[in-house]
Amino acid sequence: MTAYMRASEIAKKPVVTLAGDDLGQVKDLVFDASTGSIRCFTLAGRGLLAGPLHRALLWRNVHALGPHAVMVRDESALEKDDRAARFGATEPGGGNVLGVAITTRSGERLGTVTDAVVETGRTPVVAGYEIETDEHRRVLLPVAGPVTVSGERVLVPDATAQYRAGDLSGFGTAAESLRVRLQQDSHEE
Amino acid sequence: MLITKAQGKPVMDLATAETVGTVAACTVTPSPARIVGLRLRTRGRGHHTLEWTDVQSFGPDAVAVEEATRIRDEKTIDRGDHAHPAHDPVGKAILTESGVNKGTVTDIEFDERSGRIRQLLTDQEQIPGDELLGVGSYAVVVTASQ
Amino acid sequence: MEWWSWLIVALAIVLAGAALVVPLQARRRSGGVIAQGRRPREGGGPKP
Repeated sequence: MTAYMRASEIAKKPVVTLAGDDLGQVKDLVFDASTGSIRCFTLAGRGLLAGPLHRALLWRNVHALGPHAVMVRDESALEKDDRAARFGATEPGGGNVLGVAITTRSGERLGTVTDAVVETGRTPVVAGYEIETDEHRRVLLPVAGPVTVSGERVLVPDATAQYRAGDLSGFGTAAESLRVRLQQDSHEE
Repeated sequence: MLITKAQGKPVMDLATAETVGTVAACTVTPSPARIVGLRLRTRGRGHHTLEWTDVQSFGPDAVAVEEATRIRDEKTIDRGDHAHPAHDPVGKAILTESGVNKGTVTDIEFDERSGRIRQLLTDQEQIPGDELLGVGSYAVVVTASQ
Repeated sequence: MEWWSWLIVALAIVLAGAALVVPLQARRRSGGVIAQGRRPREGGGPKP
C-alpha cells in the first residue's frame, strides 16, 4: 500500500540515531525537479533557541522515514555541510515551491502551493501539492507526467486540473485516476 | 525483578556495613540488553552511579557492594560512557527503527543475577529485551517487530 | 532609582530579547520544499 504524507508533517520530525540520540529535526525537503524524488533533507537544531544546523541528510543515508521520526544509523549519516541541498537551488528549475503559483500548460492558474504531498516508500517522491485556490479552498492536487518546476511556478499538464482530493485518504485514488488518464491521452496521440 | 520495585532499596557497603545510598534508576546498553549501571540517590544533592559489575549481589531487600569507593559522581561521567544518565530508559519514548512511536517506558523487568533485561514495559505492551537497539538521550530504539 | 528598579530593567531587557529571538529562530528552523534543477556537471563545462 502506498502511504502519503504532507511535507509539513515530515518537517520538524526529529532525526534520531538507532542509539536513541536526537541529531536535530528536519528543516527542508529537497527534491529532484524532474523526477520528484526526494534527494535530501536539511536539518535544524531542536529547542527554542536553536537555528539551522547547515547539514544535509542524503536520502540514501536515511534508515527509515517513520510517522514519528526520521531514523538514521548514527551521526555519520549526516553530511558535514549542506552543499548537497544548496546546489541547483539557484539554477534554472530550482527553488522553494511553497508559495509559488501552480499553472496548467495551457495557462490556467489553479492556485498557490501551500504544501507538498510525499509518497513514502523505498524512494519517496513528491506526488502532488496542496494548493490554495483563488476561492481560498485548500485541495490536494496529484501531479504526474511532464511536470516542470521552478522557483517561480509549477507547470502541470492540463488534465491535472480535473483530479483533486480533499484529504490524504482520497489522494491515492485521485493520483491513480490522473495516471490512467495521462496514459490514455498518450495512447491517443 | 522490576526496576520500580528495586527503587529505594538500600545499597550497603560490605566492608563497613553502612548504607551508601538507595537505588534510584538504572542505565542500560543493548546487545545483549542489560543493566550496566545503577543510579543511586545519596546523601546530599545529585546522583551517583554504581557499575553493575561492582554489584556483589542484588538481594530482595538490599544491594551489596564490595568496594564502595568505585561509586562515581554522575557529573564526572562523560556522555560516551554507558553509565551516563542519558542511558536511563525509564520515562523515554520507545521508537521502532522504522520511526514509529510505541509509547513510553514505564518499567524494566530484569534478571537480578545477570542484569539481563527480560522486558521493557509500557502502559500498553511488553517489549522483549532482545529487541532493544539503543538507549539514548532522546529515545529508546527497538527493532520493528513484524 | 531604587536598586530593584535596575533589576526590573534588566529583566525587561532579557524578556524582550527572548521575545525577539524565539520567533526568529522558529522561523529559521522552519523550512521549505525545495526543487533542484540539473545537477552541476563534473568539470563545470559549458551547457550543451
